[in-house]
Amino acid sequence: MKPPVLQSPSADERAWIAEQAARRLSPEEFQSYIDAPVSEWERENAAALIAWFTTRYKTPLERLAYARRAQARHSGRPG
Amino acid sequence: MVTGAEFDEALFFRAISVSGLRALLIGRRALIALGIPVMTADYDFWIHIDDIERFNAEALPFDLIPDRTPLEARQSGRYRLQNDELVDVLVARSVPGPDGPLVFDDVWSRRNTLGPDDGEGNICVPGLDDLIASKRIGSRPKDAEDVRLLRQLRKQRESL
Repeated sequence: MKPPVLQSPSADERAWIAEQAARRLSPEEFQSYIDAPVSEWERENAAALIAWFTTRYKTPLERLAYARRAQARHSGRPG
Repeated sequence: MVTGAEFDEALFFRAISVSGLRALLIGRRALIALGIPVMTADYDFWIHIDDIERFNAEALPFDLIPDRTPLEARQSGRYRLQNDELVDVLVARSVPGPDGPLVFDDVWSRRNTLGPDDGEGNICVPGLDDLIASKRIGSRPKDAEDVRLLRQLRKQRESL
């Protein structure tokens, strides 16, 4: 059996996603989001990410330069 | 025009650092500078309202052009510097925070200075508590996500 093929979102779907990502949460929604319990997985994942990033890139300027390169790769634009 | 590929980010931060401007890097670039790897396309600064002209002068060699006059920026509380880079600049004296207004002068006095000892590449960011509070300005889902990450960073630092 062939695995399902994911379809790219339509223009309307992309617009809806962008709208959701950019929307302002109400103060209650915001508070509820930030106060949700931190799972063990989330805590460990965040700790690992921070440890990797600060060990691999030791200065703020190195970290910013890395993020700029990553953003360029993501957007297809020269970094 | 300076394109994104040509924009020398390190030189830009160095220029701001040596100028002595009261300029705080905020938003996701501040998280990155602190050690949280997140994605962002633009730069966000919060500067003292009296430093607009000097900030613009430092940005000019990078062909970053303001979209408003300093007077208009003072009236609206924010403006942008742009070419194919985008720098959002907040100039309000205060913004709403979760426990009352965040006042620039107070946030500046509690700032963290990140960078090498020579002081020429220093980047000023708000203290962690202020950075967390500033995320209420946007109140988007990604701002809430950033608060969770910043709280974890704060917890890590407190445990050291």
